[in-house]
Amino acid sequence: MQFMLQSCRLALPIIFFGYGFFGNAYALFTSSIDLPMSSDDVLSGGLTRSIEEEYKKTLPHFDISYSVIGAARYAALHEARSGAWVGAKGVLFTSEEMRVGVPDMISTALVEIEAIKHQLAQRGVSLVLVPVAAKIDVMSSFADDNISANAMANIYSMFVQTAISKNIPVIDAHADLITSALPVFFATDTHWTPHGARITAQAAAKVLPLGALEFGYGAETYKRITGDLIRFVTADRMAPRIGLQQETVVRAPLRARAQPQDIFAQESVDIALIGTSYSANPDWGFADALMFALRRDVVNFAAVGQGPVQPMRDYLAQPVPTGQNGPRVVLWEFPIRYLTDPTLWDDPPHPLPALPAQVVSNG
Amino acid sequence: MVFSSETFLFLFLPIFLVVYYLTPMRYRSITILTGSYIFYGWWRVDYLALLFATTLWTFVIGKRIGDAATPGVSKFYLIVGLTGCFAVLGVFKYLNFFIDSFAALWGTDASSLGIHWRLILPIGVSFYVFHSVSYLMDVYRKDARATANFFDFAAFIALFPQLVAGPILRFKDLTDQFSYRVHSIDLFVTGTTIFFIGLSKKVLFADTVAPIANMAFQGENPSAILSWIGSIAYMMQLYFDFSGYSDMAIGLGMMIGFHFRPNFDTPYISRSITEFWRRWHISLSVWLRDYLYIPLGGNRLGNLRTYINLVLVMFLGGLWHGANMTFVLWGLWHGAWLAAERAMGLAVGKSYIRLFTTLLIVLIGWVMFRAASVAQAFDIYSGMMGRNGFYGQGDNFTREGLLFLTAAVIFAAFERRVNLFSTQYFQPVNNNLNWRNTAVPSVLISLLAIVTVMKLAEQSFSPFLYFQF
Repeated sequence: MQFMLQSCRLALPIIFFGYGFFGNAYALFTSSIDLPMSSDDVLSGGLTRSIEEEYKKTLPHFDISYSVIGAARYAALHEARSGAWVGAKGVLFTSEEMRVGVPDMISTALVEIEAIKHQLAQRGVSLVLVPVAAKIDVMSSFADDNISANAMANIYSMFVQTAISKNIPVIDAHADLITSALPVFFATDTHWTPHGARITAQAAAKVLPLGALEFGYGAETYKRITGDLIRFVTADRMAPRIGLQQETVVRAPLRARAQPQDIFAQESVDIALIGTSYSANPDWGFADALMFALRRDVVNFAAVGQGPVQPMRDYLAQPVPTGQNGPRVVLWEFPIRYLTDPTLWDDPPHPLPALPAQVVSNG
Repeated sequence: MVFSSETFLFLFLPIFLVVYYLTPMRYRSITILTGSYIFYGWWRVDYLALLFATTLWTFVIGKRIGDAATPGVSKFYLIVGLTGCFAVLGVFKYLNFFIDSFAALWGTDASSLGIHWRLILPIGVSFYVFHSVSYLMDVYRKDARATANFFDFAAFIALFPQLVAGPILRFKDLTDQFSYRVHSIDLFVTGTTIFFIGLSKKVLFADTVAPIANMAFQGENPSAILSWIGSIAYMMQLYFDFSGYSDMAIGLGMMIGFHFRPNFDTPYISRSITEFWRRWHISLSVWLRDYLYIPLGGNRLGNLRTYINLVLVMFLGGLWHGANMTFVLWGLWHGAWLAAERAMGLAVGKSYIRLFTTLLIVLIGWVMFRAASVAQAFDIYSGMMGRNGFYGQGDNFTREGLLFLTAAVIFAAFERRVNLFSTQYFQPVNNNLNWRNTAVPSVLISLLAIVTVMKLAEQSFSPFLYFQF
């Protein structure tokens, strides 16, 4: 009995160091780590920082901790980790839409956009803005935070009005998105649904001249996706257990129905689409929706994960197309929430860094 | 490397302990020294040179002081030694500050004066310089003998449990422990327990309320609610982060047979600023008292001089924390209150009113301590007075943050009673073991450790790295 009682007292060291032994053996046999090895990295601590980052991911409890604690936080407190907010009925919003903007963010943005407009004009290209309203604005009935929803709505409105006052054409689909009977944003993803993309494309068709091409849609396909905001809550495999289900993307491939009559005519694509993953991701079908609505070919220069500015800068850095083959119109898809990012116009732009925990030691 | 990292918990610490216990006792100082240098060099290998140079300087000067034939020679070497130590601190910690302040006097910045380099602040420099200073002064005062064992001394200076965040130790308190110390399973288990209590304080309280504090201190014109809640969050964050680290240091020391004195004694139940400084960062208070306040005359030279000494000591104590006017003003704030309490006979308080006024004074000081600039601190003070409205956009407190903040405040208020309860209920009396004082605390602390380690992993997970909008 005394032996058992004595042994109980050793529980913590045995569990801790036992797991340490097991965890390291697991990491040793299941993982490999690629590390920078320059002398500067060794001296300045870059190597050890890389080791730390990679090492912790190899430990067996790393993924489990993230999914279990995240799920517990969601189930008990109806919250996600930093980066996302939980609204009603499991609708998730990105924290980027709750950012407080700086007073001159819109004027700064329009100055930059005007400069880009002039650069394009020198190439004979017209710029048309396609602002994408914030999800919290469009789905404000699901958001607990009315202040942020109203703020995003105000930012959208001021941005559009200011752009128009500066003679920058704008595709304004805000009202159509809000009054749509079908979902225009995914519940657990930052992005719009194909229906939301189509509504925006139809709004573009009211502003831009239509072409002569005809397109149709093929048979619908269904694809299950895990919303990108779910990872701010828990791991994908844990999500369904706490009521966060995968979502279905309904896509229909675009098909050209008619060709131009002059078979010797050079093919020209006179619309370039530049933007973010709202345009780049084929699952949302925005480029296809534009082609269908505008009856013109659209070449997609949008990029994932770079925000709206860098893809435009990359496009401007490309050699100017010769002859009549270059796009004559650039549609610039621009999610409104990026306007509150103070680093938006930095060169190169970078996301706001995660705030580190306070280090007590002052040296 | 920090204690609250997987690399330390599961890689460095287990390997170090295995090597340590396999090393014969007479060589264990070398093991401690080697492990400590690996620990420190993990941050930056190039700054090990500074740590070693400071250690060597102090050791050599200490021997010169100890071997000095006359008090005059001894004093000479003390001055030389202290000059060298404070020069390290002055250059690496304060040179950037002085350059910026000088440039500001001319209405410009450092780069406009052609100064484009910035010195990196070596982690732990304030602590190991203070260790060195205390050693030299103890040898000079003959409170300690100059050691001839370089490895013991170097291991003391670099001792990784306390190297980067204290507690501030004195060689005379540890020299016997370097020669002889007891290792036992009980001590090791106790050390592991205290270590995980400290880790839990940091991970579960400090790190969880940190985002609330950061919200208040990163924007402009904070609302009243953000100013107050953010400041209280910082008050909790600082205490649990610092006391957590101290507990971890004490626990780690116990794992290798060392006994360090407690560094915090439930400071937020203090009923005067005088009492606060007997409970907060005790090792620093004692250091300042023994090596600054008393040499300045302490309270032996009349009331006015006593008040001046108090203010001066706290001014320097503030400056020690960092090279920013905010730390200076924080130090002066506390120095002024210490002097005022002494002058008015209010050094001892008993009532709840004294408790709340003390907490308010401390809170106001922490706002200045945390702010990036004096202007930002006054921005927070304005918010606290309601000049920016009661509530504002961006006051998005998470339930998790508020829940843990509430828990932190309650724990800080009742920590003393929790400690007493634990001691009475979970400690065996006369080695009389039963399920209550063995299985129950073991299960509780093991569960706490598991939750803490999982939370540590979870809060370092960054979804942004895994996908992009």
